[in-house]
Amino acid sequence: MAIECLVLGAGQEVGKSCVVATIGGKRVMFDCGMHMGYHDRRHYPDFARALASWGAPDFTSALSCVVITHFHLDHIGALPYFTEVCGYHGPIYMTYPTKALAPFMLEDYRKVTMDQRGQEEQYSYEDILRCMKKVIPLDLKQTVQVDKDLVIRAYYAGHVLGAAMIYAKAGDAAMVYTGDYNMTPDRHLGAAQIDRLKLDLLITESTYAKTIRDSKHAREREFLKAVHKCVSGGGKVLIPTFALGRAQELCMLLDDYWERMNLTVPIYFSAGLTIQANMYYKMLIGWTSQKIKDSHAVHNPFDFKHVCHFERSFINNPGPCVLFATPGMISGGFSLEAFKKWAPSEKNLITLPGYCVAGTVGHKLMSGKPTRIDLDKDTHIDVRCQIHQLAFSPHTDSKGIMDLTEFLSPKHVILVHGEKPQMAFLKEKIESELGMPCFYPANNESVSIPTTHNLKMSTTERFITSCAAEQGKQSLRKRNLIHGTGTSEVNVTDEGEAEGVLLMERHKAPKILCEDELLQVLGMERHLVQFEAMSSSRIEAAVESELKRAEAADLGSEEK
Amino acid sequence: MMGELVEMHREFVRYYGPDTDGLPKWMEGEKLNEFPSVLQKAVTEDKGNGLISLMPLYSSLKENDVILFSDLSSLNDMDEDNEKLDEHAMDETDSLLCRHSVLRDDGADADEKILFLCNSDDVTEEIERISFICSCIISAIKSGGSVLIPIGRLGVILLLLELISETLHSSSIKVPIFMISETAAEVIAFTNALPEWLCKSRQEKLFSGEALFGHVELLKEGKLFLFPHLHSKGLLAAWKEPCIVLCPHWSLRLGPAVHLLRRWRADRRCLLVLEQGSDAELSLKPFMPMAIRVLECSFLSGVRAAKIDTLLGVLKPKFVMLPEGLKSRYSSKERPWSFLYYSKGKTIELPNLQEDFEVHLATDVALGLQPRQLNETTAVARLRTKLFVSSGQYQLAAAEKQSDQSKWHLLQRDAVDPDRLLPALQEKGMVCSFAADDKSAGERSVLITSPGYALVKITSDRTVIYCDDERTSKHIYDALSSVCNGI
Ligand SMILES: [Zn+2]
Repeated sequence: MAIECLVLGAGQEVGKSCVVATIGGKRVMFDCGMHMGYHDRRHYPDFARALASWGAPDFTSALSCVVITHFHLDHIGALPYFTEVCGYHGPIYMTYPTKALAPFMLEDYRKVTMDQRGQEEQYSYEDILRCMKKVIPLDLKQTVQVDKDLVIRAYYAGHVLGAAMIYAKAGDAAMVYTGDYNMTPDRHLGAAQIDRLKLDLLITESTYAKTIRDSKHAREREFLKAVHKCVSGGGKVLIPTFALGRAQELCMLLDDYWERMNLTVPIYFSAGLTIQANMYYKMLIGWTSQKIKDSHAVHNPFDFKHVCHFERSFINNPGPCVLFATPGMISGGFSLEAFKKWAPSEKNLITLPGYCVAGTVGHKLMSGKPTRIDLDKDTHIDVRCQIHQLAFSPHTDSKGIMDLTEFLSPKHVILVHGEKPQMAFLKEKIESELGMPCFYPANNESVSIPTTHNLKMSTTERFITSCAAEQGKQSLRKRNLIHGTGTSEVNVTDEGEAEGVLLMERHKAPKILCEDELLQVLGMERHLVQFEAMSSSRIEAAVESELKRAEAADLGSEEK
Repeated sequence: MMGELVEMHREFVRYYGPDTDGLPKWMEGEKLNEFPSVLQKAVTEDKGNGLISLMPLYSSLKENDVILFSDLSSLNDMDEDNEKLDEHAMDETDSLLCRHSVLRDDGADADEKILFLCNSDDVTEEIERISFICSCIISAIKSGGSVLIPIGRLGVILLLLELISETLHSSSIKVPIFMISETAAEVIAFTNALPEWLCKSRQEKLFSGEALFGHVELLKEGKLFLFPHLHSKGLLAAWKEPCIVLCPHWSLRLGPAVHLLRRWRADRRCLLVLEQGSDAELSLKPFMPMAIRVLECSFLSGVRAAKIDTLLGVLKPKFVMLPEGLKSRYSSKERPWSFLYYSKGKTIELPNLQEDFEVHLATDVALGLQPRQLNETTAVARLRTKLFVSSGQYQLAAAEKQSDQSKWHLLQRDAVDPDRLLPALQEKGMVCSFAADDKSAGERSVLITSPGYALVKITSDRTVIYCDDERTSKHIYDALSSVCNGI
């Protein structure tokens, strides 16, 4: 038995996360994302090719289920395409917040790509709604029996509201797919949390495979300072974000700062949907950080005091302001419109997220200090504004990945959602420091992970208790080693392990017994075998005399 | 002590695992108390197939051996299921009594949310009851009286709030609704932030972007006011009579209810909505004489007897624990499970349920076994493994080290026959012969001269191999075990 792992997206790249793992004979698709840097067929994972390789008639029969980790488009963007265009009709799982928030993300982006690039529309708004209707919502730590053999469970991942790490188990094989996660709490979300599970495979993101981040507060201060400096100089601040997640975190930060500094400069949200999204955040308080949960009854932090009503024409208004505009990475939509207007003035400030997909304006701005952006052969933008790159990110850093991997201690690790050179570095680190085989397959490559297979047998209480009794002695000696572990090892003796006998009788299930029990059941006796050295003098003498006697006998027989 | 608890919990997780299915969940007292809520839902559905919506829940419980009904006093009303609402007057006060089939559970408050927050058809009966209460409230308001509702059941309050505001709106009456409780603000904020725990239809509100409960709108529109105390800042400014006041405290001895009841008790247009159960007469005694109308009502909690068999049929337990009082009503005749009856302060010993333990044997261990056929029907194999305990399962994994040679032994059916040992040794290419002496003492010796020197002394229960060379000793041992009818 093995876990077969086919990487359809986010293999040695960031974008269109999609991994299909065949575990215990069950095929599970983890995430179904789109790549925002491409607008050709590389936009989506190559589903058709995967289907052909499985030799199944359709996706519904090929897959047991699809599980989506969070609402980011690079994790869910291809889902409506997969269900409504490719025709997958099987179960789809995601957490409550993801189910509630994903339609906004999908629709917002669909509009952007449709309006801005005239790209062939791959799915419609109705497709999104039809697709989302099929989704089965998951709660954290809820064990869901997908079918007779397959079980999945979601764990808190931080990152964005509703993000989950997914545990899947079929037969004896078990694995975790992390999706994106954050090992440190941020302004509104807690840190990832998972049980110590016995895993054959861990598939983890590796966006920051090589980076170790220092204090977040310093980075937040930098951001606030840059924004404050800009608005006090009469400039405009453009914060391109996606509708959900980063927008709320940055807005909490600003709203708080505005309150403390008594600022009156307006903060705008470009689309009504973000205001709507804030309402969702209020309903889904249970998925935010403990601090917010404890205090939301008194003050809901998603009631932003300084956010003002906005209309599109406001981008021509004079005077300072802060504008949150979608989409992030300035790949089109209103954020691009505002960028075109504001980029030419050196008074203004554009903030960029920590990561921008290749092919977007955001990416171009990040690489070097361009003074001119060519959108197409007719549109050029002079860039004279300030650019501030946000140095905090909702992804775990390299230390976090190592910590989680060490905590879970899987038998194998697969890295996805990262850049090749950094992944190579992390693979080395995991293999040398943690001693786990680690892989980072490219798109459309698959990795086969061997798993241990178990046979179910019955045993007697005595066999178990004799082991447990030995363990008691053992654990007294090694007390400090067993704390808080999910799997404990029962070492029966210092050198060795448990001894027993497997009894197989015709027409009966095999059973493991203690030796004494076997003797009783079968009426056997114990015959001791002792090993002694020849050198004990008495024996040596005996052998000596015996040899002489034998020689004499031989001679005697020869004489005959 | 906290440290100990944490330690115990760790141990627990270590042995039973973090998995939420299976026995451990039910071993937590809290979970046991919640059980009636599972049953409650069953009450509201008509036929056995009403349980279908709960199947995912049950399927995770199926492997349980014992089901404990924490309180089934509700069963006492099993024959009164279809009794209709009826009203009759109390002696001195002009009161309405709405008595209905009462399925009672002492610790019901926590459970109610699950049932009563549902707004679907399967709780029709409860809705009907709440509609009735609502109509009484509206008629009191219409007559110019105020309404005092000292009921603490959150589910009932939330449904009432929605229903009252709808009715007020449709009959275009404007009266303020006050919720006066130290926890009011928290509870109201909280109820709009737990979509995972609501029924399907409420969850749909989340997915279509609406608030989960009507009270969010009411607060926004200034129709509902939340205050921690009667003397809270701002209450007087908002106060207007007639009004509707929700102030959860059933005893009528504490909190704002006391003051408000004093204020309104002489007004026959006003209405007091009480929950049946506590002795109403006693509760109201300090307020006598009173002209205020009293509506005493009961709410659904517990399980209907008819549903139990259906439920148990799904769960298939080995044992069911019921309160002693139900012994005569419920016997396990012709049922595949047995009933145990419990009473307060008495410990019940459960029969040991587990004869055999299940272990998981890693395939690589199984493949490495060397079974020995003892006769036509029986084979045995020695097993050396490491035992793991993980998520409540015993797991045997491959052993790493070989055992120490000095302690080996054989398990034999018949005594080792030295006469058969000689040819076995020779087969392995050894030159050997019997030593002549000691035959009388029940001990036979075999002398090996090639490939090295060795002496084997055999008695009925013991064999001693004298040899300096490890490989030769191993060969001798192998030969010995090959002639032994055992392992
Ligand atoms: Zn993400």
